[in-house]
Amino acid sequence: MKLLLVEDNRELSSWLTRLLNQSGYAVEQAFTGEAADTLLMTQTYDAILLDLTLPGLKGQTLLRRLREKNDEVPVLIISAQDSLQAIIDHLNLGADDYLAKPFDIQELEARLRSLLRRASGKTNPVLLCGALSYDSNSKIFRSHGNDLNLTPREHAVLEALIRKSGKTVSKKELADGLVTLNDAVSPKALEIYIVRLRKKIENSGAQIITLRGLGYMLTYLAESV
Amino acid sequence: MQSLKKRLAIWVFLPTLLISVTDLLITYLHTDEVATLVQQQLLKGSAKIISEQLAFVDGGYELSVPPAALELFATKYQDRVFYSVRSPKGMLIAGTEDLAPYEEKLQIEQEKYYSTTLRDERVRVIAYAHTLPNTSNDYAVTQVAQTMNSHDGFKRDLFWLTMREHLVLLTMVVIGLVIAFRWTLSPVKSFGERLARRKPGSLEKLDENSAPEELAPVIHSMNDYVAELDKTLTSYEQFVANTAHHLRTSFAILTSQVNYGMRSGDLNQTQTELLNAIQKTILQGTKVINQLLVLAAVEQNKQQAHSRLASTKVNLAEVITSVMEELAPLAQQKQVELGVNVVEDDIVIAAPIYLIREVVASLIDNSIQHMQQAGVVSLSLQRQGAHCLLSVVDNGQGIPPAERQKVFARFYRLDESKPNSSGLGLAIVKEICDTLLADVSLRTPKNGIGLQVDILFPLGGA
Repeated sequence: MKLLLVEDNRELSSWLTRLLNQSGYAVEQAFTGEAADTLLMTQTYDAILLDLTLPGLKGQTLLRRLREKNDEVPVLIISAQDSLQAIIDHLNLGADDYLAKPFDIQELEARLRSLLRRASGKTNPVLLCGALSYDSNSKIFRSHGNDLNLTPREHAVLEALIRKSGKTVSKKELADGLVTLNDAVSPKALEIYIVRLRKKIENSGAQIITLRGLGYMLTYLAESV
Repeated sequence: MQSLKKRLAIWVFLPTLLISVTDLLITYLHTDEVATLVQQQLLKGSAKIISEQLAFVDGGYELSVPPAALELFATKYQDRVFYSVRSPKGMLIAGTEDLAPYEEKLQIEQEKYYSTTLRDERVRVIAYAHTLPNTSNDYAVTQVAQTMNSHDGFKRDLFWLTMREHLVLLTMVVIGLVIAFRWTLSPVKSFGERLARRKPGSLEKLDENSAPEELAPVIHSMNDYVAELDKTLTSYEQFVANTAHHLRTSFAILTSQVNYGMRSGDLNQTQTELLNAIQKTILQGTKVINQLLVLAAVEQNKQQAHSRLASTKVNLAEVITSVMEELAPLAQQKQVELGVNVVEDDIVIAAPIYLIREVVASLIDNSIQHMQQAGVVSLSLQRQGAHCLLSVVDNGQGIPPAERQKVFARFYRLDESKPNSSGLGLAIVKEICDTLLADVSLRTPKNGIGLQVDILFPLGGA
């Protein structure tokens, strides 16, 4: 995978390059908008990491030119301006995602992976949350690569949660998803499934959080936040 | 403050009044003269008629007074008239004895006027010397006296006439003044009203052609001031943006370096701990930068028109849900149970979404950060008449009543030893609420434990 990193701060650029190299990406650095523009005329990249506040040619202009040429290369903006309006503006300009500085490399790589996946045309059948994975083709949950042994109902609940990970799923939604399994589910029963699931995914870093009054949410807890 | 109107009124009306009063005074003194002259003419006419009727008949003098001589004095004032004709030796020929003889020497055809009292009434008297019929150089003195009623009445009439004229004049001056005020001061007034209608902190320039020439310097200097303020604000904005950019970039470098270090493997425990601590510090620093940026943005919003603020509509329940999802992992780590009680999901208010997010996030974050042990943070959102009430209740250590006003100050920390608190969270909440005309208050929850923050948002037309 070949990336173009457009970042005017040489130090940040060099550290990010080292990190991304470590993860197996080939990175070319451009320190100005003009340099990036020139590179883009002759080279193709799998994704572009674009800072906005560049000396000379601004990131916004670069992005607009790119899209005017119908170049659909995924662009992830990394910027120090993180007002909501700025984010909306840049996504409207044709950016695919946005990450505010400072960011964690894990976050950056996760976004990058998802961008590359989307660009490659196939929606990845594997859903991830921490070390918990769900292969929607084979319908198998794994934690750290080991198959999880789930009852059909637990499976249905966890599937509903991982499909919307990071968002709340109401108890009603969860119960409705279980109705297809022939009988109605009492709130009490649902709580029991959640308790069991929590035990089973304990080691994966993924957690089911209760937001009282709203529902449940599957999320990944970083270790040292 | 001095009113222009008052000054103008004083400086136009007072001199006019002074002139009027002076004129009235002069007229008053003058009317006495005029009335006296008129009376004297009448007295003289009467005396002449009487004197001409004196005849010498059968060795004696005879006088028949013609009615005309007395009718001269007939006025509505009802005067009494006396007369007497005396020989040179002071002997009464005709008329009344009451009228004392005129003592002084008179030439023939000479008259003298004087005032005296007759039967307890003031009278004006003429003493007129004329030849006696049948004698060569002897003369008689005819005296006619008239009470002062006509004189005084005439004088009064004259004075009142002048007085009426002056009253009409003064009334006209006043009416003229009122019209002049309306007409000449109305541009000043409407200029003032236009200023008052401007939104506080407006950076709009004033139109110089819309006000009278005399106000041009005011408008000029106001516009200069506005331009200067605009420049200052813009450079302040620029400064905040630049500072944030630099700090964020530096933190991004630091984060990359820490990330790199953590991935390099073969770390001993101290090194891992160190890198974790650095990462945590970076996160806290980032949080403070973001909070300061929010404060700067709120500050700018205060300067801008409220109409712009109100142009976007926010569903509060949606914001609450998304903020809770965002903070759920943090709550989980701190063993804080996050939840909602009642949340009406169809409340929409006019406000920029990022400000509402910031308020909700700051409140929940504040509650989580100040929780000493496992606890509960609950939100509720309900309509309350023309407002809606957002409450965030926790069962942490609470805030003593004495501290409740202070915690809204920037960088004020209840517990100085707590490293995670920047002291900006509640300040942000307060300043955003001020901007959105919402009312924020702190209280102890019903069960007596922890802290309840209530925010009353005006629903407005939304």
